[in-house]
Amino acid sequence: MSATRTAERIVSAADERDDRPVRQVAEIDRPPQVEDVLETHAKVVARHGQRTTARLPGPDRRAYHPAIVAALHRMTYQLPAAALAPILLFAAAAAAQQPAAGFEKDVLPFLRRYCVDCHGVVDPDADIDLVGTLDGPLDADALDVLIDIRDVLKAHDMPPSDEAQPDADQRARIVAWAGHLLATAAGTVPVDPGRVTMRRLSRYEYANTVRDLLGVAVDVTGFPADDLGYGFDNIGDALTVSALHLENYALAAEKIAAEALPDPDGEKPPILVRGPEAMACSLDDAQRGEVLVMITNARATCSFTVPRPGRYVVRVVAHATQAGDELARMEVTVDGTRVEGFDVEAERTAPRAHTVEIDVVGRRLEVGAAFVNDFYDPRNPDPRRRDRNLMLHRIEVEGPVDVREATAAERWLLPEAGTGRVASRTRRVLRPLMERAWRRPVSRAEVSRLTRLVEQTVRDGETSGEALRWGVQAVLLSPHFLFRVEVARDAQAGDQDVGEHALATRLSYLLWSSLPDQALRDRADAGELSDVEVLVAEARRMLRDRRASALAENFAGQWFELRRLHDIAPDPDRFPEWTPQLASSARRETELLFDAVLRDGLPARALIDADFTFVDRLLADHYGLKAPDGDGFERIEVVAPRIGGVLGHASVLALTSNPTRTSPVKRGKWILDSLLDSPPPPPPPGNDSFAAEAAIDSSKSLREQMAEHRSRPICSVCHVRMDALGLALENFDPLGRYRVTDAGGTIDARSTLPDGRMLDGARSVQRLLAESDSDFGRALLRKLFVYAVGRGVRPADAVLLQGVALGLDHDATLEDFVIAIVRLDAFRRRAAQE
Amino acid sequence: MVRVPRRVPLSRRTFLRGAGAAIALPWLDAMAPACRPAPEVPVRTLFVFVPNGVNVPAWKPQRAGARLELSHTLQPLEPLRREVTVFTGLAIDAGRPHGDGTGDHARSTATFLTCAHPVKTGGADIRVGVSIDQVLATERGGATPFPSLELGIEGGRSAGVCDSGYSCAYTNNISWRTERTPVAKETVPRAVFARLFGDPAEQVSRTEEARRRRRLRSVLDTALADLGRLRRDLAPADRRKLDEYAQAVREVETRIARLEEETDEVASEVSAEVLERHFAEGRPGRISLMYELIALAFQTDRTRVATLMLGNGGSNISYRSLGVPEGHHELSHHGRHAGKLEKIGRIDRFGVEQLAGFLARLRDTQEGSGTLLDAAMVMYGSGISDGNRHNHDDLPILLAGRGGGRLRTGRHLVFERETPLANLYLTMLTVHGVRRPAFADSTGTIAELLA
Repeated sequence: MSATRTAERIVSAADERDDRPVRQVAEIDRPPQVEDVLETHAKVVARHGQRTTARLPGPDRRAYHPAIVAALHRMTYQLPAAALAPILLFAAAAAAQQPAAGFEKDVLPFLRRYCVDCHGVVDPDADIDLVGTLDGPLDADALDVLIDIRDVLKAHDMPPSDEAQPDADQRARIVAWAGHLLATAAGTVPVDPGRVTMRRLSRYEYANTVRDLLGVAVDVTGFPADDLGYGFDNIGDALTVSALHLENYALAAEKIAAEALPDPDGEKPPILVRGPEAMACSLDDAQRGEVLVMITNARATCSFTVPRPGRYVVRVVAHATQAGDELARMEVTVDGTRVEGFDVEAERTAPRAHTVEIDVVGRRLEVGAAFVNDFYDPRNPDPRRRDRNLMLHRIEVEGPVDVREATAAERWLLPEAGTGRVASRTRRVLRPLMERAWRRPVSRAEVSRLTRLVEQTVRDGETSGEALRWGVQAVLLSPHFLFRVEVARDAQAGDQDVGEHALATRLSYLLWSSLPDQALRDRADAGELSDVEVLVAEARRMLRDRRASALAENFAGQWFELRRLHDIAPDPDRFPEWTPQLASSARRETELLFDAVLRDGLPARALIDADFTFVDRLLADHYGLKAPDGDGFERIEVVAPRIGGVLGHASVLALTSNPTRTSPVKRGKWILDSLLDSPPPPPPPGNDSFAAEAAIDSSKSLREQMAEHRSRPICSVCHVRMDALGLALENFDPLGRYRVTDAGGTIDARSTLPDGRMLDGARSVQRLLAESDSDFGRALLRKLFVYAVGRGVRPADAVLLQGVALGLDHDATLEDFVIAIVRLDAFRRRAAQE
Repeated sequence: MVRVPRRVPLSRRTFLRGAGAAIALPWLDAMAPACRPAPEVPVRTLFVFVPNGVNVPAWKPQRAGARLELSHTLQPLEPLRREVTVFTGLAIDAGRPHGDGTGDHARSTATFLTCAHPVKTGGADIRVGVSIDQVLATERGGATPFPSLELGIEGGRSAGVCDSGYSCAYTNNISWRTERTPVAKETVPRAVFARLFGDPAEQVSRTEEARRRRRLRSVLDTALADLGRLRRDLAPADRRKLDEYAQAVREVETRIARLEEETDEVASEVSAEVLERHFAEGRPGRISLMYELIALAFQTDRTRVATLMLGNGGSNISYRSLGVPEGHHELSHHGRHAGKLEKIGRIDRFGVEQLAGFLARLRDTQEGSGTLLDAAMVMYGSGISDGNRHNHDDLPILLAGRGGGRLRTGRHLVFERETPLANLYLTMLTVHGVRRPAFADSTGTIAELLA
């Protein structure tokens, strides 16, 4: 592996004798992984948890990332270097206006006093050497560590509670210093745009794309699940293709082509005929020959598969023998329901068709004919008037006889065909289809290849219409359709624009999870998208389109983990109210909020502190609110004690609960994961949460259990924050209903954050997350980044995004956030070929 | 609405026979070319992955030795005691952190059949190793329409993160065609059936079927024709994706060719009601249904290699029908709590019951002069031993079937600690007649296992 490198790292290992950390230098043979850096904060915190406990098994002694160590060195010893002068000057200038810190005066002593003891170097003597020798630039890795320093200080995660603590003022000044440095440096650190591995369409994208391409709704639930990377299903590296995928694509393409072009050759509707041999009869020993004889009351049925839903003519051809004073009575049924009754007059020599028109909803129907007035009078003098019987000759279904509305694909594509030879007609249909489906101009050779396929198919004996369907299938099975292909425009050049059509595709899949529309394609064709203002204008236009609801369904659905709502299983004995319908309504509420915040131009933080929400009857009933009048969702004002924003939604509250009870831990963790993108580290091995929970006396109240839980040093580092956030939401039960008591008595929704701030109830959590100081905006940016670019956040990206986040206004709208991502180099450009 | 007809006549590709009925297999037929000796009965191999480890004391047989004494969990195998070998002491070293920290469930899944250490990544540079079933599929899968069959009980996680810092690719898959490409699995029994034998809900005439195949082939040919130029223009990581695509296309083309070659006419009928009932059943029903489908696939030589995941890595399925409402993963962190251990034992034993049912089904299926079980190798176990400790040694592993008479069975083999599980895989390769110096970290074959 070319990237292999050896780096110095510091391993802190618990000394057996006095349980104090000792340090040693170890080798690492792996390049830094992005997610390691993402978890830096987590690990730093975890280290402290582990340090306070007894020995851990060897392999789990996790060292700091080499990059962090190196960066800390530079942070500590090298920042005053001349290379940093401009930045430091800025920081100093900022410090003059703000209560920020000067590096020499405040920062260095602070780091030395509170940080370097653990996050420092091996040997105090080496300090001097390092100051002299490490004089590289303040790069992205170093700044990424700066983000961590800011975060852990801000959250009071560091220094650990059993170490000396800075006072609030000192802490605030360092946080401000880091913030200013980041805001400035983010723009000056060169960041290459990175590489995105060619992305296969996710299931959701495939369905949207087919819908917008051909107007066909395709069911993709049977496709193999897309493996997630970084919490999203559109990550190029994690989207694989196997034979199973291809089979599903092949079958889907066949169905899509058939549905898009249902009647490729304009043929007359067929007449489907079933004779006596195909009829199932309620008489076991019904006599069958040319006719099916019903000598007593009976019913005969046969099934038909029709080309499409629509209007059909049903004919039952029958005759009867008569007796008594009524004619033979026959009732015609469709799918078991009577549709018409007939008096059957016809005699053997002249059977008659008894006709009825019906509407067929699906593609299959079962037509029945029943004989309902059997009569037998053996004493009648006329032997031909003694026995009334019904004889069925055949049942026919003809149609569809209604005029079908042309499909979207027919309206779009077939007029293109014009007249002429098969080849030229085919070319005229395929070219626009290919250009739209493949999201780029296509070459003559590419069109010719598919045209030859269609021609060959006609030579093999298919009709030209049928052959065209094959062409459509080939378009949909091509890698150009299934993948978002991005080709280097100049393989030799360095960083470069991804190209007009690739950029259009990136934009449309970000906003719509689907292909570009005509207007966007026109811009790309004209080469205008490389102008970032044109690109932004297009983005704003597209955000107003209804297709932008894909952001709510696909992006928010994954960001907030709403998709998991259908996988969770609240205990059916305790919560019989939880149904798939309620899960769908709960999910919809959150999607609608996201959509409203986006479309109404509200600040993005309205996702957390909106004063309105959406309910349908089911959800209103669930929340104990007045039901809306209509069937759909209605926007309502949220009144206390409920809160607006996702933290008050049944969706989020249910998916962060256990099957039988709420889980303050899961709720707190969800907030850290999703709303702050600051995931707590996994529990240290052997000390995981489940084991800890198991060890806790379950007879105590949840709050007492949590307290015990946090009293364990190894757990408390993370759980103080996690549990505090979760406990403040305790007024919402596992399905998100407001409550004031639970099994443990009256709910106490008060808790204390690591920095000593008190929380009391959901509204306080809401305020905390929506305040101007919150890192919610940065989390939103980072999530959008992963979703938009299809890869993880590298340290360099993290620095960039931190800078963007600090530059965005507290009232920045969701649209502002999306646009900020669209403007990034990472979105518009690609790094040089590997 | 529309009623499903009671009995659906099916074409030969959509047949399903009642359990235990003998079906004439192609390689035993008189159709075999006269110039060649009667072909050997091929070995059929299944790997079953159990998530979250087991209740170790309840699983482990008391004594080592030639006469297998079954533990409480393994008791359902009593009627098949002579057909089974239980292993104690095998390890997957690659499952350990080796500096990567937590994420044992992802690692235990990714390493189960690869015995290779996965690169810890949330998405970029996903890489572990080629799995043993895919080695077999490559070496021996060419003769059947499906080189291998990948099945599971659970779909992928739909949102969030699968296991601390590991992409879901690692927790959702045990089969890896290349070190970077996991093989997607099918989790819906009805879809598996349709894949193997045709869709019972769709009646297609033979001519129509042939037409559809021809159509797909020419469409795929066209797609492949395009790749060469595109490939040249792509970056290496993108090329790998295109290669995955090309490989998948070729595999489907080969399958179509195999199906076209089939000339035997084994017509039958299947009661749609029976199918519907099977398909409608819940999760426990789904496991037995998957086993039945595997048995059918083996019996009809649709494939000779299969994998089955009883859950994804760290699966949190609740087995309510066993009186266990808690999630499996949650429970596996038992903290030595007796009640929790007992419930884990219940889940373990349920799994073994299902396995026993499958093995009995193979044993009751005659094939040539022996049974399908004689021709089979069924490896069953977990990549974690104790869910509470997440340890990757002393793994619960068993092997059933006689591998075409090449395996000695009915014993409990206890190994020195740290003996690589890969040694078992290397031995299984030998049974298939695949000669390799090593598989992953193997140190040799298990001689005691070979007849």
